[in-house]
Order: sequence, then C-alpha cells, then structure tokens
Amino acid sequence: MKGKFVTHEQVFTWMERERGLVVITERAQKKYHHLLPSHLITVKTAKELFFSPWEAVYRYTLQGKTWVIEEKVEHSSFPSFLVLLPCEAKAILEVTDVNFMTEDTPDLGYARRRRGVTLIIVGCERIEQTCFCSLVGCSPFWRHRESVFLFPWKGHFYLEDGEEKLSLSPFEDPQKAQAVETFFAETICTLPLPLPANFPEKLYAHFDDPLWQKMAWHCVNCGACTYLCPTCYCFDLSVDGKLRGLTLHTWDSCMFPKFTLHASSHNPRPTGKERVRQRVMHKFSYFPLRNKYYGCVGCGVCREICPVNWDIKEVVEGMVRQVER
Amino acid sequence: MYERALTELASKILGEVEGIIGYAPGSLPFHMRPFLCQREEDIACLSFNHFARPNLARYLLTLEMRKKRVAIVVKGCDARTVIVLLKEGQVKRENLYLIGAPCHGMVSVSKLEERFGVLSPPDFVWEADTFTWRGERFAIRDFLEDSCERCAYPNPPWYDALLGEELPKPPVLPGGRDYLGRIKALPLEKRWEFFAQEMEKCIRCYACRNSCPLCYCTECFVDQTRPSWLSQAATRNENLFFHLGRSLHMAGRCTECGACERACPLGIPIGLLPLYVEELIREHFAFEAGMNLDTPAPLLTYRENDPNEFIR
Ligand code: SF4
Ligand code: SF4
Ligand code: SF4
Ligand code: SF4
Ligand code: SF4
Repeated sequence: MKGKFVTHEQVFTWMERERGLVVITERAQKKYHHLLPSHLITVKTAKELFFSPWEAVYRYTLQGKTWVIEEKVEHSSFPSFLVLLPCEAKAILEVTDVNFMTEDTPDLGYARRRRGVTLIIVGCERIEQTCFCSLVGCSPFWRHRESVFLFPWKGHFYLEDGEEKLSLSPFEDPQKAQAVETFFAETICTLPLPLPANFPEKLYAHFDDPLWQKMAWHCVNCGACTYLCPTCYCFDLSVDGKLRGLTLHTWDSCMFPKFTLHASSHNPRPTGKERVRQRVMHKFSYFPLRNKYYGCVGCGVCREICPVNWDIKEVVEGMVRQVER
Repeated sequence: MYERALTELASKILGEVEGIIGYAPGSLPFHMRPFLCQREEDIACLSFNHFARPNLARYLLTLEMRKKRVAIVVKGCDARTVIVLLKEGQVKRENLYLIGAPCHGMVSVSKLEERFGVLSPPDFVWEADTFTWRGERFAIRDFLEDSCERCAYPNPPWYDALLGEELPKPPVLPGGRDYLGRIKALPLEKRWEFFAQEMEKCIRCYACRNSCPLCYCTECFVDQTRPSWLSQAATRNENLFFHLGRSLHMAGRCTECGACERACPLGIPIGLLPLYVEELIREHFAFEAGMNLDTPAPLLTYRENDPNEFIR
C-alpha cells in the first residue's frame, strides 16, 4: 500500500485532542518524546493493557448451602488507540492475540479489552544495541494491514492508514512515498538475516542437547525477562478467600519452580536448565511449530533488563550453530 | 582491573578447586556476567571491573555447586553474603576458596545514560576512581549504583586471597548522596506517598526476591497456600505486605549488596526497606551482617539465659 504524509503538528494535535483515548508504551514514548505529546497515558508493556498483571475473573460467595458465582466484568472506559513500536505490535498481533483470541476458547477478558483498540505503529528510526527483530520475522518498519503505521520522514510523518482510522486528512506525494519504500527496502537488506527456515523443527530435536546445561548456568531464574517480555502470556489462577472471595488471574512465569510443581510434589522442571530451555523452546520451537510465527519478536527488552546479562540472542545464535553442526 | 593477579591466582588454584566462579565480559557493553571457569583455557576470560555487578554468592546455592569445592570472586558485599551463608549452614567452609576483590564501586548504566544519552563504549576510558568521556574527566563516585553509593565495606572482611591491595575505608558521605538518608529526611506523609507510589508500580514478578542470594527458601511465604498469607493480586497493599515481610526475613542478614533492586525491571528502589531494617539492627544490636564468622546473628540466636524474659 502506498502511504501518504502528515505534518508532525497534525499528529501531535490529533493525539492531544484524543488524549483520553490514546495510550502509549513507555518504549515508544522514550523514542519519540520529541515528536509526540509528553503527557499521554503510558504503559510499561503493551500486553498489560489486554492481559492484566492481575484480574478477578469470578466473585464467589457461599450462601446457605449453595455457591453463588458471578462473572466479574469491569466497566471502566478503555483506550481506543495504542501507540507502540513495531516489535511490540507484532507481539500483540501475532503472539498474544493468537494465543488468547482463539475461535473455540477465547479468553473473554482479553478479547473484551482488545476489541476496538487500534494499534498505531511508529517505525524505528534508530535500531538499539539490544534489538534483533530482523532475526525473527520482524523489522524496524514492520506493518500490519489492520493497524496504522507512522514513520518520521524529513520533517513529516509517513502514514499508512488505509481505513482512515485517524481522520487526519493526509496529503499525497507519490514520489516521496516511493523514496520511503526504497529506504525501508534498502535498510532491511543491511540487517542481520532471519533464522534458518527450519530452525523450530531442528531445535525441537535438540531437546536433550547438553549445551542447555552450559547455557542455562548463569540465569538466576528471576523471571524479570518473562514479565516484561511483550509476548510472554503465561498466567496462574488462584482463589483468594474461603467462603467468599475472588478467582484471580495473575501473570506467571516458566522461570519459577512453582510453575510446574505437581500436587504430588514432583517437579518435571526441577532446575534452572529445564526452565531456561522451556523459555527458549517455547519461543523458538513450540510456538512457531503451532502458529507459524516466532514467539519472540526480537525487541531485546529481556537482554536489556537481565541483571546477569543472560542473553537470549546469543543463546539462540549458539543453538543455530549447534543444530547446523 | 586485577586481570594479572586474577589469572596468576586462577592458574595456581585451578585443580585444587573444581571451578572458579568469577566474571567475564558480557555480551553488551558496560556489562559483566557471571562466569564459571573450569578449564585452563577459560582462565583468560576471567576479569573484573566497574561492571561486575552481580553478587556471585547466589551461584553457590545451586545443586551443582553445593557439591563442589569452588573458588569465588567476591567484592565487599559479596564476601559478607558468603559469610552469612556459611553461618546459616548453606555452604561449607571446606568447599570454599574466597578470592577477594577490593571494590571501587559498581557503575550504574542508567546513571551514565542520564548524563551522556546513548552510550558508545569507545567514548569512555576507565580508571579505578575516575573515567574520561570524550576526553573530559568524571568521578566514578557520581555514577555509582545506589547500593554502592552508601557502601561502607568495599574490602571483603574475609578472604583466602586478595586481588590488589585493600582500599581505604570510604569517607562518610555528605548528607545528600546517601539515598536512604534522603528518604528518611522526608516528613512522614511524604515518605508514605513515596512508598505508596512505588508499591503501586510493583508487578510482583518477584525478581527482587529471586535474585537475592539470601532469599533461598525452598518455599517462600508468598507462595504458600496453606495458609495463604497474601493475595496474588498485585495491589498496593498486598505488594507492601510482601516487601515488608521480605524485609523482616532479611533482618540482620541483608548485606546491602543491592541485587534486589538491580533486578527490579521497574526500577523500584526496593533495597530501601531491608536497608532500613539493617539500620535498626545496627542501632539495637550493634551488629552488621556478614562481618565475621563468630558474632552470633541477633535474630537467629536463641539463648536459654537471654536477659529478655519474653523470649525465654
Ligand atoms: S534470563 Fe535474566 S532476567 Fe531472565 S530469569 Fe534469567 S536472570 Fe532473570
Ligand atoms: S527479545 Fe526477549 S523480551 Fe523481546 S520478545 Fe524476545 S524473549 Fe521477549
Ligand atoms: S516463555 Fe515461559 S513464561 Fe513465556 S510464554 Fe513461554 S512458557 Fe510462558
Ligand atoms: S522473602 Fe522470606 S520466605 Fe521468601 S524467600 Fe525470602 S526469606 Fe524466604
Ligand atoms: S522486582 Fe520490582 S516489580 Fe518485581 S516484585 Fe520486586 S519490586 Fe516488584
């Protein structure tokens, strides 16, 4: 699709006007604070808007001899637009949506919040040291037909908004639009190549590779990476209260021993090795084998925040070499 | 820093010990990572500098390490942590060889970024107490991690071998730089406001607890279900309950290494709570955790003839 152009002012004013309806991720805010309004509501991760760190699913009470169960539906107003980076958008569209909005058993809370929110993807002018999106099918200019795409270009914003969700009255400039396309294509050619096509299958076969032990060694299983990862979607259900209370839906992580602890006290993932392997396998093998996309979007957040510099990119590249041997 | 001393020592003791837990350059600039040196050819990887942040004592607790005789590189706070682990019977003296590294303080990446924007490694030249950035000189002490800013013990109180020479005891910090002091100086309602705000942010990922080398319980109180002490909902009050609970479990044990707050992905200065508890312990028991093997730890010691009746 050929894009159009809008001025910085137009975008800025539009966001100012729709302020109550626009939410921006902290990473997008950090990157584009000089072009976008500074007081938009920010979220640490995009996923938390739809997949809450904790939420009550049911309220239950024992009345006489019967349990009364009500579904808990929140009625708070919800944003209409979410401004985010390409990798963050891919994580929503091709990972968490795929997981939670299945046809047979959708997650009702997620679907309720997710519906009606338009993603405004702002492409990346600068690639950070921790980014590796091009390895996993994403790119600094990753777009999606149902979402709006913006990219700062020579004093303007390049805009793709086929469905005119933003009502911005952009102007056309086919020559300039062509230049943007060429720039995208040329830049993508300079980025590191994607992982080998059959990597998920090959990795699957290396479940018992002794290399896992070595690679997992220095991860302390703190779980910070999975909580901030835009694609990690694991959750736990717990009850809070005896005769009356709430059924809670809270974030969880495969980094924790309790994640797989059986009632019998057997734990199939007893040490860091099994847990780290699960994190890598889930993202780079199980998820893509089932859903065709990688379960990692290469955003590099986990690389940046890990307190001990455990580096998923390095590990995946190490596994690529290992499976090719 | 200390590379020569480190490699010389490592070549001498490898064999006597099954491995050396130390630091090696990380995959990103301004990061060092924990490294297990087990073979001759690994020795060259061992190094130490202002980015050797992780407290390696954590690694002594893995099953694999508990069975081995290992050497471990320790800064002041890390050595104190090892001493606490020894006192609590988590590790065995005969299985350990402590390589002390007098510490000039660990540099915080976020503080560098605050001052210099996007960081480029070639812009920096590092020395022990200063560094230059594009030729301009700065003092390391202005860019230290919060926990290092107030550190009183850069030298390991106990070691089998020391890299370099002991450093002079750091000067008492002038009022403003000590971050616990800053919070304590606030009036009560401001303090509450500060903590309420921070607790609001916490997502209860438990990264603080999980990276703490002294939070080694097989089942933490927050994970217990019979009874269940707190709700899994990450609300302000429940979060505060978790953190206060954890601080109390740290009383007289926390060595102020800052591992918890460096792990927090939301940048919550969660170390403040255990730090404050340690201050109370100093005040009431004249005790500091991990300074030696002999002084009994105040809250872990029971005596039949305790002068206080309530405890007997
Ligand atoms: S990879 Fe890093 S952030 Fe993730 S659990 Fe391990 S130590 Fe924590
Ligand atoms: S780079 Fe890390 S944080 Fe980002 S999607 Fe991949 S695993 Fe998650
Ligand atoms: S990597 Fe772990 S926490 Fe993340 S989605 Fe997969 S299993 Fe869940
Ligand atoms: S917070 Fe307390 S119960 Fe939990 S691991 Fe730490 S010391 Fe143990
Ligand atoms: S690491 Fe930070 S966000 Fe996570 S539980 Fe601790 S204080 Fe809360």
